[in-house]
Amino acid sequence: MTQVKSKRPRIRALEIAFGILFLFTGFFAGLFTNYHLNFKFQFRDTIEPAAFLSTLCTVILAFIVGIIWNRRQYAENSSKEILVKRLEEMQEFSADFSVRAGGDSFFWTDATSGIKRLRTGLSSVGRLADEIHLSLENAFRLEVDAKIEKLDDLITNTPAFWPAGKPSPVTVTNNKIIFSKERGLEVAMAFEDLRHSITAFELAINRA
Amino acid sequence: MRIKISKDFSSTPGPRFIREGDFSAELFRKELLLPAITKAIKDNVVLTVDVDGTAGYGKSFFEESFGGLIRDEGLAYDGIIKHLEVISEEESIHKEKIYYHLKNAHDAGQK
Repeated sequence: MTQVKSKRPRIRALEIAFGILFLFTGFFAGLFTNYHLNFKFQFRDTIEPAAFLSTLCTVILAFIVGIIWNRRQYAENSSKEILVKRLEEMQEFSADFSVRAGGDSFFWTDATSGIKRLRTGLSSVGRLADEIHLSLENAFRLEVDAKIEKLDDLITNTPAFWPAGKPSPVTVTNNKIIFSKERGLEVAMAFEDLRHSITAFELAINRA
Repeated sequence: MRIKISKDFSSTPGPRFIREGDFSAELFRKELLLPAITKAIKDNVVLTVDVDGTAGYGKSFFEESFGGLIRDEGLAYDGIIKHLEVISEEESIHKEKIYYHLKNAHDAGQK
């Protein structure tokens, strides 16, 4: 299962950098208030109220901004996890669908409902990505969509006319779909292609 | 006038031809779509076909039912287009396909 890339290490690095910065600031502030050391530059030994309040406000503001930023990051990561989970479900379903399509009892309604489930699943992922303003290249979604279309074409597009004496690639008898050997292989390949495209889509969500 | 396929025909539409299985496109065309669109054209009203709410359609369903109106039943393309409205919220692609099949059957008939 593909995991959503966490942004925690980046936040932790920032926290460490700020810690070091404050440590050095404190160290030099200490040095410059030790007047017996006779540095050229020294802080005044009295606290100016306006400057103190200004510093305090800046620190509080930075703290609040930090909290909001962290919350937004958390919400974004959670949304991505949900999207990836939906795509994982599509992966599992397409694997199961592929097995059924290759079996002896593949019914027409199995095929049509399977295709609909894949199509509506993809559409739902697309809508969710739009809702959270995830900057994703549309190409990934379009590719999965194209693969579902191809699969639909191979499985449920039975010909209106077929020359007599020639074997049809797909026939339907008593609601059951029967593929020719060549078409069966094409269908299996189309499922593989679909799964590959879904994986690429998952990776694109992780990178976004 | 309105046809909701899931309610008025079947929630599990079937294959292309009657001989292939249950709730076929051919059956839908002959029993529901053809009489309804013929009446809509005659009365000069719009027939709304709602394709939502089913378990899903095969690619050949719309080709046979809508394309067949022109190819097999001899209806005029312009008359159908003028009196037909398609609702497809769940899978918007179906609406495009229906108009594509109508145009395709019309163009094939012109040749």
